[in-house]
Amino acid sequence: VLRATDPTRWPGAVSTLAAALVAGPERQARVLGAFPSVVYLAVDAPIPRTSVAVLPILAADALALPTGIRLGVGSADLGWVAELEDQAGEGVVGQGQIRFGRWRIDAVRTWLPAQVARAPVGSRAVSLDRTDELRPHTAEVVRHARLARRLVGRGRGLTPSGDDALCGAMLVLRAVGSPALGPVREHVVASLQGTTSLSASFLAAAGGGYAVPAAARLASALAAGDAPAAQALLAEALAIGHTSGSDLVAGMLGALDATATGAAATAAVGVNTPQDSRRVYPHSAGSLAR
Amino acid sequence: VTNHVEVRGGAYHDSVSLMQVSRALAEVPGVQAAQVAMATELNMEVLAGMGFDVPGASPNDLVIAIRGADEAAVGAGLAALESTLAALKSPATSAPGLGEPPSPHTLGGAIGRGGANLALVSVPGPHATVEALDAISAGVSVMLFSDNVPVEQEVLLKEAARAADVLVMGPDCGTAVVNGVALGFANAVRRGSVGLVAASGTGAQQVMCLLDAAGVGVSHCLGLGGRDLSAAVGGRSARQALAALAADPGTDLAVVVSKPPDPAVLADLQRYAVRLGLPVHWATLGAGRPDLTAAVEAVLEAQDHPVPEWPAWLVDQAPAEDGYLRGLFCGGTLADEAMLVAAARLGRLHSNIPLEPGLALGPDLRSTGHTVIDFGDDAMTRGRAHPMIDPTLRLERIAEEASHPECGVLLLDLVLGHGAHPQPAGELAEAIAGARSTARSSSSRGGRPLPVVVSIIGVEDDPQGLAGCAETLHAAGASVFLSNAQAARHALGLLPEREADMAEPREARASRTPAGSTPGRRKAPDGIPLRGLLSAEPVVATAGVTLLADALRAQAVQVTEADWRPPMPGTERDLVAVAADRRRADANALAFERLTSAGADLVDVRPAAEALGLERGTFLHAGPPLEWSRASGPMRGALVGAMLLEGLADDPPEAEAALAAGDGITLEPCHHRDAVGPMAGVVSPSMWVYELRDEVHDGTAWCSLNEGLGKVLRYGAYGPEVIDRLHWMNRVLGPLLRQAVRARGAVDVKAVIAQMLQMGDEGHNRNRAGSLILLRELLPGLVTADAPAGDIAEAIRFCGANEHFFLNLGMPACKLATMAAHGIPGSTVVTTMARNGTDFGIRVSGTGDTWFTGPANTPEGLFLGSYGPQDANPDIGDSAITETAGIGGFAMAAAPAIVRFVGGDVPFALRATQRMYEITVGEHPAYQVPVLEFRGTPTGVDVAAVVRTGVLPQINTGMAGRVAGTGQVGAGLVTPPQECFTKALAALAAAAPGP
Repeated sequence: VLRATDPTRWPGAVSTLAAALVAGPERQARVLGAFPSVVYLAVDAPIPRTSVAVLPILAADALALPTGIRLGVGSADLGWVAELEDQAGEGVVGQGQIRFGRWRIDAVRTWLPAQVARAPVGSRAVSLDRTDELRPHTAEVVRHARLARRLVGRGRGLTPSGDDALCGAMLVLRAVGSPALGPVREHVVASLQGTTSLSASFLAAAGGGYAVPAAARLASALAAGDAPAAQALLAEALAIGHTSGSDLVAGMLGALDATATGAAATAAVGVNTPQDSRRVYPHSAGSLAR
Repeated sequence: VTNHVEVRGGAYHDSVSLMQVSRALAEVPGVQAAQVAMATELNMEVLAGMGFDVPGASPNDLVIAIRGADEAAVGAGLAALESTLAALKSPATSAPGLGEPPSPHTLGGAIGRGGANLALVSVPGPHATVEALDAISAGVSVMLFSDNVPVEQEVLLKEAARAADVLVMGPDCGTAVVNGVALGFANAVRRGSVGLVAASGTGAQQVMCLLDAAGVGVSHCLGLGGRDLSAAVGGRSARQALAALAADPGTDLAVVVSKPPDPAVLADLQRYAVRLGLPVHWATLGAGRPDLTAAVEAVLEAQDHPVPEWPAWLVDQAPAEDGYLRGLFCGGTLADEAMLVAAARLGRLHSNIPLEPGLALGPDLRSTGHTVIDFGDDAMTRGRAHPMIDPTLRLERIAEEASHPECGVLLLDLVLGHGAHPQPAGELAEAIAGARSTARSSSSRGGRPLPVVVSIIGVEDDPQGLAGCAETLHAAGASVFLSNAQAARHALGLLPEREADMAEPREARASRTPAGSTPGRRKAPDGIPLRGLLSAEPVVATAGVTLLADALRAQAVQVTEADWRPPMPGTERDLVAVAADRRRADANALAFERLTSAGADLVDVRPAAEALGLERGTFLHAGPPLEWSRASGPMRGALVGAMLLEGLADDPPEAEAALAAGDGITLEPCHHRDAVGPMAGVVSPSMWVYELRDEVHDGTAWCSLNEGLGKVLRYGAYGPEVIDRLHWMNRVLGPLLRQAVRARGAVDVKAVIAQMLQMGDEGHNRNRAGSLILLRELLPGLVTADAPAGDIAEAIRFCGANEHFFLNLGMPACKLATMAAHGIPGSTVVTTMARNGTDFGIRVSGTGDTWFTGPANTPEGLFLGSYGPQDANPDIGDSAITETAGIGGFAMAAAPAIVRFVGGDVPFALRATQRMYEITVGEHPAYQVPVLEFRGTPTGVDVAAVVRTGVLPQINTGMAGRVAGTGQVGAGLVTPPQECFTKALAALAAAAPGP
């Protein structure tokens, strides 16, 4: 036989963020959720909270979640949802393999998840005119990092709105090179037990500047002051999940509001001025600490 | 002994797959010889040489030859053939389910289907350029694995790629790594920050494997093709690749790997690299230049990385007593490097890829003196797989060399990694052991030792595993080295003393461009070169060898594989000329825009004499120009009927005689007067015609009135009932329709077509809904016409009973659309398809009014009453104008019920439409197919796409009786003869300006 096709066994590309976990010793895992294009596995491991605790197994047509295992086949060829819904959903991760239900994924290579690009020195970040109640809340958290726990886990769903906003904020803070990133990240990490394990893994990734490509690109464009690119990327970012996209964007804009200085900062918070749909926030080269 | 030879048409498989099939067959017990191959001239010679009777076949046919001990053995062989061929069916070629689109035949189709950002082309060289141009025009970088691509086509591709900001890796590019994904032959090396730019596949593999062994990883390996650094190509891809690596945040330094480059090109490239500010090391082979291992050591030293002891698996071998070095290589650069290393000690080496032209081997490749042969050279891979996949030739040669006493030392290579043979070490070890035993037992002086040295290119994570393979070869008695240069030196040391007595030359040091220290060398995010190729997860479209697509799937890469097949024979050059015509894309876009925006309003009904200026004695007919002497039965019948109608003859024999004599008779295609006619399409001056207007493009087209079904003039019948009906149509129906149209005002025929497609019609052979809609529009005007009630009733009864009443309005509407798209220089869109019962003719937008004709095919389908295939006349009628404009057979998915009339089944109807997307330039915005989610019908046949894919336009048609006077005998499906398209393509190619 020239072509062995076992529909339950697939090669997978492992995010560099999850490579150590997958290559490490075998650990128990369970299926958190199964969707046509993604299965979330929670890995039962005494690992630090900043490490990957949830592994998304991604069909080729799934969103490229930064900690995921990407498969070369599309969801139409996988058909795992119906079966996994009826099962207890136990699994094993480690030794270069991921097993769950009838499925087995062999780690054959790594892939580099999208990461925000630090804006060149001297760039002037650009914001967008969007009103969202999460925006001022996130700006508050960026100014006073210890308030981060108020947002962690706030909202419904697998990725609560507050978490998405914090992800957006951390992406932007890294992109503009803001010193506010350190404290925010620290307080977010300290509060991770307050949210779902899936969301916790996204927050941990965002702390390092990793996100789905649309979000990473938008944060980079905003920080670099590339207004046309930001406008062009906005629709794609907003389309992430049900509400995750708009929450991410609100968080990004809130972080920009908080890092803006002087009069521009005062004008930014909570004010919606349609005639001025795009504001420019200068931040001095001195604030771009590496 | 039983021989079985069989030819199968339309069954293309790539050479690697067929090699696998042939092997599987040869292993069947009782099968003595088997050959499964495409029926190329070369392969047919091979078959003849094997003693088979060679059948007639074209290069696009599959030929199967099996020799078995008896009938049963041949039967078992055939059974094995079927199961192996079935197993070969990749996801790309497996039969789709109901409603699923058929797999694309071209790379462009595969890119569109899978959203690829990288393409891999491995089709035979003469066809590769056209596929690669698909990728470039889609803004996708392409690795061109194919070899035997002419150098001027390489330049053309690379110029186009630079303009499109994409990279062409190749042609003859065996190795690339993009973002951790190996393409072609590549090893599973660790990821790191060294970027390679490689004009040499196995050279790059050697460098990457040595780096990996030293613990250094690779960011990307961008292949260039072996000729990129030649004077002719001028390093075009190398510049783009270096610029992309310079902008890649994951790459800290670059290594350029190449066979001996053109000195001027290299100097230029080095100056360019300095400007980029990226540290670049130059592993470019040449006399007096460092070998690849030395180049890698220089990279390591520059990075303050320790240089390891390179892995080797040594056997204590007695040196050769006599004889010469015999190097048998799969890797061209490895052979080059071995010759450069050896030449310093041995002087002259003979080769099929000699260092100097004077040292070339003869065409029989017989060894003379010190000899190195590259089995991967272009000349040795025509029509067969690369020796890294199919080792047969080299294995045979190893045995042959062993039997000659002048073979002193055997120097070999073995390349592991993705794409290479899955278990290569076993066969090679067997050959090595066999060679050594042959030498030991050779008659001369009680045998001789035959030292064997192998350089092995691989890493432990390769599918074959480095250590295991090395140990297998070692166990067979060979000394094995990871460094090819070390292997070559070791082999030299095993030659007789007198040969190796020259002084060890000084090692040249590797050169390096001083790194620029410009802090801003990284470009801003919006300026990422190559459209972000180096930062995106590869999603790949492939055309060619299935093995390469499978190797990508095994790396968890999303792959869309084209179900590629060779184009119509003899069209390679014309296809390249047309594909490279820069006017084409815009010209076809304009043609499509005009085709689909053209209006079609029924504005009047008039006698042909008045509307078309037809004089007495002039007859219009369907299809391309035709003389009476070549006219078929139904055409003659219709012309006879028209003579009788016009009163130019009293009876059929007299009419026939007058037509044959031709005095005062003029035959002219309807199309030459902007008119169309179904079936025979005969229009004479007294007949009435519909007049349609395209106000957008100021066009006017005409068509006769439909006579109904059965015995009618257009099907070649001319009996009294036919002539009487025509007289009635001239006297009563025509004037009544004129009153109705004039009373109502213009009827938007295009809108009726859009509606009828949503009501189960396709507008050519099913016009039921369209006819009723038309009647609804005309009824008020008809019933209030100034005419006797009896005449009105008869006219309405006649129109209402005729399912094809609308056809004669749909056709001129389509004619207006195609007229609007006609005459655009550079456009390859077909603007006429028409048949006269003898010839099929097409005209093309970019070639003006020239007809390209071929003998019309006879439709296949369902027959009325007791008629059968023997009664059918070849294809006839202008009604294929409907398909030309995107309805009819092209809209068959909208009319599944039509299969009861023309044959086929419902899945066929769906597939027919979906298949046509591949040969058309766009989807009609107004004509939509509900069952395909209201997708627009495939519109605007592209001559080049037809020739490339071999997919011919699908036409639904009526069938006329072969014998004059018979009438309709059935309905069915037909395609144009392919020569219409190959001739049109040749004319388009001749008209294309040079690149």
